[in-house]
Amino acid sequence: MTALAGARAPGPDAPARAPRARLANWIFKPRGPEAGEVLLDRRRVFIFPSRYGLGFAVSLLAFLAASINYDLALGYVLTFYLAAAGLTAMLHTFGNQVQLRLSPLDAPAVFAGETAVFRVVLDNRRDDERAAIWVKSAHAAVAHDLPAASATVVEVRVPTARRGRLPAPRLTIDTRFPLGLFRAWSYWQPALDCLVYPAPAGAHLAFPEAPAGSGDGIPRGDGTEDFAGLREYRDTDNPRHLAWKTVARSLAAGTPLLAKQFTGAAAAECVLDLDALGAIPDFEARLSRLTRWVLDADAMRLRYALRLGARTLGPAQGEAHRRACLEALALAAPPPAA
Amino acid sequence: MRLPRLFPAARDALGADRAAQALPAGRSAMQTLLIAIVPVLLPHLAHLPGWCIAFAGLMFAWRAWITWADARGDAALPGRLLLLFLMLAALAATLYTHRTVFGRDAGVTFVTVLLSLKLLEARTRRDVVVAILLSYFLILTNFFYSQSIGTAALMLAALWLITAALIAASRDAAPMAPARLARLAATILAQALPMMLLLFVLFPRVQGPLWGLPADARVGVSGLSDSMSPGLITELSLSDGIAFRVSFSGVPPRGADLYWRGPVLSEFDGRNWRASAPNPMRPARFEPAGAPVDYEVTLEPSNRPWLFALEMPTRLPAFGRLTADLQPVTDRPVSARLRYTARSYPGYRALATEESADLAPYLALPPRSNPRTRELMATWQLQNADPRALVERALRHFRTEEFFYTLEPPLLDNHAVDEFLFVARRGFCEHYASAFVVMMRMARVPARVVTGYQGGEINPVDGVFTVRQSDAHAWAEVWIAGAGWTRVDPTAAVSPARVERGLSGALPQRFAAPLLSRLAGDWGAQWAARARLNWEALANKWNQFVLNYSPDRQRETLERIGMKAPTWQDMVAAMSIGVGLSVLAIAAWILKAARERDPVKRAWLSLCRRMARRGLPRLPHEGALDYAERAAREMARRGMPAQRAAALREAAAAYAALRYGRESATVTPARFARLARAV
Repeated sequence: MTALAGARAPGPDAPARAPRARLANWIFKPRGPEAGEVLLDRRRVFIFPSRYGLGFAVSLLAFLAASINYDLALGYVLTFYLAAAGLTAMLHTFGNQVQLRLSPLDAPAVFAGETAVFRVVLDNRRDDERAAIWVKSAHAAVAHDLPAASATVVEVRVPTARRGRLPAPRLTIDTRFPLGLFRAWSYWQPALDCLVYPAPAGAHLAFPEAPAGSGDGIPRGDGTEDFAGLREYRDTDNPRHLAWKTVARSLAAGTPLLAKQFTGAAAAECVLDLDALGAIPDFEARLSRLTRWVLDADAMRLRYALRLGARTLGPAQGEAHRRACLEALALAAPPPAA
Repeated sequence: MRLPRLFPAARDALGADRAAQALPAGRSAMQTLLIAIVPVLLPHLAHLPGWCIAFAGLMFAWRAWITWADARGDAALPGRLLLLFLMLAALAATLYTHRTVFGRDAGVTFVTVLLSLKLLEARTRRDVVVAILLSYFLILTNFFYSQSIGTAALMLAALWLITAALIAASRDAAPMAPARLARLAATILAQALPMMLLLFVLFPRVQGPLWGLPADARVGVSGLSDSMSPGLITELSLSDGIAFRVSFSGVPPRGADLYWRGPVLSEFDGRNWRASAPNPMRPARFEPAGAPVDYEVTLEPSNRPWLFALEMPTRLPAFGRLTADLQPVTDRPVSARLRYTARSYPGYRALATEESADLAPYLALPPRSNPRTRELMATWQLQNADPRALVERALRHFRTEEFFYTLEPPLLDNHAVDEFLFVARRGFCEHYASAFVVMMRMARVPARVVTGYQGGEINPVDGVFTVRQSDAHAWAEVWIAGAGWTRVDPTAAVSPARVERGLSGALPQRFAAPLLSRLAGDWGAQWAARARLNWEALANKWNQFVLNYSPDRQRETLERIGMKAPTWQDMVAAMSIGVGLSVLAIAAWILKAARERDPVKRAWLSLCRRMARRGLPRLPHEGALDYAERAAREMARRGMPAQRAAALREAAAAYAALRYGRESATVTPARFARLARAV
């Protein structure tokens, strides 16, 4: 795997491994991320005996020697039948994988530290099941039985550590069905990126005080919105104000649902400014703090603006704004090394 | 497993990942394997030692209980320590029973207990696959004992079930329904059948053995012996085992001429007859006379260097020769089925003269044995000393006195011939031949015992004679001046039917008739006889064409289908081509099933693939027309010729029309295929 990666993007040590990389390149023809549906045609499916296949072959040699030595006609029959069945199974294994169609589906954004889920579609148009198809990445391997003439959505889970765009890993699709003596495999890197937001900092951090006289022109309300208490939920209420923590209890007791009530007539506003967090030395930690605030502000249905250096988003409110802010945070370029 | 680092992907291919080791479908694989083991081990019950049957049976039952009934599943399997202890105990028991773990019987015992213990520790796929390979090997071991059609059928069933178990073990996500498992295994075996036949016919055959056969490789092969002790055996086994088969090229000789000559016994110590040491200096001498008989013999392995031919053969195969006693022999013990042609003259005359010194051994008798017989012979000699008259007299004696032919004679004591002639008066061929030769020697007539087979049963279905171990016979030869060695069969005097119609003619019904015919009466008997003859004709074909496919037979067969003087290189070349063609045929079948059936869709997908290679892939959400529009714009932007974009648009429009439009005469699949190719 590493050699192949090296082949695609020759590193500093490329000259030393060039012949091997070229050979691997020539055999496996790495293609990089592929958008759109990929058909595993003959040229894309490789096949080689598995360890059990080698063990099987060695056993057959022993069977043959015994048949010759003891002059067992039926020993020959058994040996040749097993050899023929092995070869037939090779073709079945190949057929189990070839003409399979792969396409990327989506990869919902996650916060750093969570598991990214790349969803891909394995489309089996054969009138027969394709059994025991493995989808393997460096992190996980899961087997799937793909029913006849249907598409199956497969999730590839990859742990995340850093914010940014996480490309889908290169996947190995492989199978040994039906006899396990051969392994057919293909490489595929779906063109899917998972947007990884920064990990939100610890909960319940006070919102930043707007620096006095900052003169940024953002109209502000007369105070942050204060939680004032609970009342019965009405159908016209914004569902965001539903007191979710009490829902289970309410439903169980059969009592009416409760809504949170806030003081202040207009939605309050705040500015979340990266530069205002200069006290925190680590750039990533500042982004984490901002992420937390974006989430809190959104949960409280505030109008908020996010300022990252020269770029300002909002003020606005709602799902689209939240997503835009988080994406900006995920992709924020770090300042030039100080 | 270390592979050259040149092929990291090949190393990857050998499956280094541990995740693949887990076996979600393990229970189904184990159940299938446990069922498959039943037909594999069934025939072995006849020769496995009792402790092994009990031990392995217990282990299999234990494993079956865990697999089917124990809710804990594999967690209920015994610990390694217990298994190690059981393993050592089984090894000790094997050594105690067989004194070795090598060789045929010990090997089968050991592999059986090994398999039973392997199943009890099988948790991973690797364990199950090892157990499956052991089971395949146990199929092979069955052929050490029997290669009959029945065994082959049973083992085919076993092969099928074990293969189903291997499929079950290769399921990684969910287990497979038993019926589908069985069907897939049958499909694979059916597709593999032509390739197996090709390999069987064309794989260059080597004459075994490659290494020394263990001493027990051929035990249990019954047959004639080079010694005979009448009076010590009280029950002759009626073995139905086949000694050899004969097909005559012309009219078969009469039953009374069917004497198949074997070892000649001339040394007698009062109890046992033994063959005299061969004297290579003396040539075999006789004169052919009468009409010759040509035939082909298929001899079953006997582990003896004897060939069998009708009395008296003038032509034997290159590896055979006649001893001075006129016994056809070969140089090596016959350890594999052997075929040869021969020509005999049943009307031969052994006219050759023998020196009196040469005849001395045929007159030797232990002193002071059998006084009453000696007395009787002295009386006869006084009456008429002519050898022919003495032979006649003896035969008349057997015929007129109260002698009986039986396979269950009484034991005889030291003066065995006295007791046989004057007291017991019942016995089978060995008793009569032995007594007759002793009588002749006492009367100074050179005589010897000849053993072999007499008769044989013709199968009207294919005209092949079958000679069985139960057709073993012993008769006598006397030396008569002017006539040479002359055959005398004293048994025929007592029970002419024994010689005319074979053994079953000589015995009361109780011995000869098969059970079925005794129960079902006449019609049933006829039906049973016909069925048996058909079956035996089939078995003969099986022997000829499957079991006896030797290097010679292979050359013969290949020449018949048109290969001239095939060398092993020719065979390997033909085999490779044949296997390659079979692989292609199966591949075409399998790939056809995997491909997109619809030709229109196929052409469209092929077009999209070609476009994707040029960097213009169709996006998953794009329809044909949208895609063509976008791609055409992109092509124009890249400065590609306009007619190519136009061709793409046209092809996409045709595709959309075919797929989603009304039926039209102008847009046909063929036209679309042409357009798609033109892009």
